[in-house]
Amino acid sequence: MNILVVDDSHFNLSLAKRNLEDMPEISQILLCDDPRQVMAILDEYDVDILITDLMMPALTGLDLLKLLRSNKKYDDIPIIIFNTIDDMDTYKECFEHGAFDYINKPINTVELHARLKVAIEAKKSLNNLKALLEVTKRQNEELKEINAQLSEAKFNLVQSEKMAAIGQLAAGVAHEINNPMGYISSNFEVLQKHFAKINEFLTLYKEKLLSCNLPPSVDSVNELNQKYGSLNLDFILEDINDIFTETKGGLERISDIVNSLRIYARTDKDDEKGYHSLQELLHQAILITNNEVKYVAKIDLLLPKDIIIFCNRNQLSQVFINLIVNAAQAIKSQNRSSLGKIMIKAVQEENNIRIEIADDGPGIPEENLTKIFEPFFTTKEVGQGTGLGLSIAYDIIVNKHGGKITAESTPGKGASFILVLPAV
Amino acid sequence: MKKILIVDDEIQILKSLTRMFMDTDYRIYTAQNSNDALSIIESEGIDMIISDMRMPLVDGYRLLNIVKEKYPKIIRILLSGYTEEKPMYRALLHNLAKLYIFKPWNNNDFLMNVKKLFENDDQMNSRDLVDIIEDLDQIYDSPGNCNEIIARLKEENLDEVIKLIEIDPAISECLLEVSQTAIYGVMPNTIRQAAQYIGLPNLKSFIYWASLKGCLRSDKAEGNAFDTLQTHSYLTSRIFLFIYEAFLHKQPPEASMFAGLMHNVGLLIQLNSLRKNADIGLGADSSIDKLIRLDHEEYQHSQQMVGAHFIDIWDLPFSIYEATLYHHRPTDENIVHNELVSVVHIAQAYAWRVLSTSDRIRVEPDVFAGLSISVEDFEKRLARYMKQQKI
Repeated sequence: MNILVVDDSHFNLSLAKRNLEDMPEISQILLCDDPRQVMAILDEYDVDILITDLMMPALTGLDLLKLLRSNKKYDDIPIIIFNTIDDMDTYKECFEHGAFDYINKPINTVELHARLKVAIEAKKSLNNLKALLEVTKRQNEELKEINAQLSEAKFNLVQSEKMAAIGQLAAGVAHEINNPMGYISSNFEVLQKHFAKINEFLTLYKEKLLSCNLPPSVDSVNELNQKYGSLNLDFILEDINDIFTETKGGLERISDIVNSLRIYARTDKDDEKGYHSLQELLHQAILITNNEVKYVAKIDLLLPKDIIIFCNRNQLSQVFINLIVNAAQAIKSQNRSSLGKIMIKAVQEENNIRIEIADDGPGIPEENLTKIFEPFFTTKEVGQGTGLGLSIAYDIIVNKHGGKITAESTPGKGASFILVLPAV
Repeated sequence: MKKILIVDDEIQILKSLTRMFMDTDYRIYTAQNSNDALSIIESEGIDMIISDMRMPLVDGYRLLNIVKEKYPKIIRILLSGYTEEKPMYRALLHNLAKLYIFKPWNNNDFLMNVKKLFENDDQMNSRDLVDIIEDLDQIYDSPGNCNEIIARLKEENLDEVIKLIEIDPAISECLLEVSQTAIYGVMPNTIRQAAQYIGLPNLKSFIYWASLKGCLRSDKAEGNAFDTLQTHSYLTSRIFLFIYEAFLHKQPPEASMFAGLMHNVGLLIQLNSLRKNADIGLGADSSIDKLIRLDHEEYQHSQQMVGAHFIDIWDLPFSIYEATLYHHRPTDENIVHNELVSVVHIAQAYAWRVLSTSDRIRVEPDVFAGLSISVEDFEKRLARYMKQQKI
């Protein structure tokens, strides 16, 4: 413990020093005859307890007390007042301003030691407390940081599961786009050939009919008629009509797919919710998963009336896509000889919206029904799935939308997932 | 009139392909699923099938498998909308199609390739080849484990294939020889490494090479000539891969890694078969010049036909078939895999040049330009590479 003694009288200082020297708890005694230097000393030395005289020129003990108590850095140093006057009012004022104790002058060794010991104990506990607080504070900081890392990791995990799902779908989507691209580009080449033939006819037409001022000769008309037939223009004109219709359909298909993917790919860190059409959300999920599904199953969508739903659009899409792809994969795993069935049903109930996605695949064994929503639980082969899909679906439905998600299954007959979301 | 059957579950694709063939002389049939396709094949007698890969229930992979089994004469083309690796890999491994076309396609290229495939087919069925094959007085038997290994290959069981290679000293030795002399860049040291590096689809070519090599070894008298031809094939293979890597900056087409190695199997088989006849065979003169003369002149036509015939029997990819059939005439108008054949042509010619100074070795002047490679640059870098490799 370091003690600072402040007194304008050198005699008192040396007396105090002598009395303090034989206390084993004290490691350093600092003496100061000018209270105005106290601040500088405190800044320089690590002072634990301060003893000050009350009556001093320039700065009284009370002033010093006020000064220290108003400084956050030193407001916890126990301050003991030396006093000669038996003045209750001054004592009262000193204590009001945060003095720890007082010592009467002339110094009595026994009293000094006794009062100082109390102060030392108090300061010790205070120091311990402070150290403890420091540790707690640091631990708290660490926890905060870990927490931040965890939620970042969770965000990344969710994001990477989403990207994995997209990756899985990407190949299928490429196929979905390449099919219309295939016939559009092929038809386009045919269209160029058709145009060349029409051009050939028009050139002749211009030469025979437009460029001469006379009424057309029978020969010219005959020649044109013959050309028309030999170029097979009747067929070509009809075919061009077909090409336009087919190309338009193909272009619409491509833009539908690209649009639905673009919406899906946004990251929405902010959990923003809005009012959305359930029909549109389901339609888009079906479109995106079409390639994954159409070779193994048919989707029946039973939505008697469109339902408006308050939700985060991307999150809910993610759940639908996940459940549809799961259903398709379950059916696919059976390698059956006919198409399976995926049924999506949504109804508005009094307080809820109930959405059911069911398949007629192999179903889920009873012992797994309780585990499927756990993170990293998967029955797929290594590399086929992260085992996060359903746990994320659970998080989205239950935690983010205040809904419920449950699974039911009759092994051998199929499985169904039921989402219940609060109605708008 | 040739009959072409197009199979795709998407009607617009069928319509656009029918349109594409509109001004041609083929009769076009279409089917929206594999079952319909099979009944059309049954009733109409089809010459070529163009099938989509992804279709509900029986997909293109399975359809072409059935067609290959039941109607091997029908030329198979696989049309694929996307590059899902697994089915494509399996299709390649089982050599399900002569040609793989990806959507979207280019009409002109598509039509041209169809025409080329038909003409190739007609050529191989010509009387010419039948005569040559009949002249071969013996067709060799696959020795040792080869048939067994090919069976495991078809089951896509790499581990089992490696095990079988490891217990056969002749094939093991040959695999190490190939991996150290016929591959550019990495040189695997163990059987497992080599087999994994080469991969199942290419291992099939290798196994036939090893089996052929096994047959050739039986007679010591002309050993020298066969050794020289093998050295030439290894060198060709290496230069072939060197050109792809260093000049074209890509891998050879899937399953065609050994197009260079296999290009001259026809000459090997023919010499092996005719070696007892001193007049037309090798006789006492087994010098390199004699071999080059046989390769480029006497046997040029027939050895390419014989080689292609065996590549066909062995069920190796069409690209290797073309490399074998056309490596001396890379500008033939019926070639589908122009790039690959050009590279093999250059590789075999320069491999001879490394081994000999004969002036009979010809390089078609246009092939370098066709590949956008400068001759000077190529020769300079090849010389540097050969020096590095101490060849």
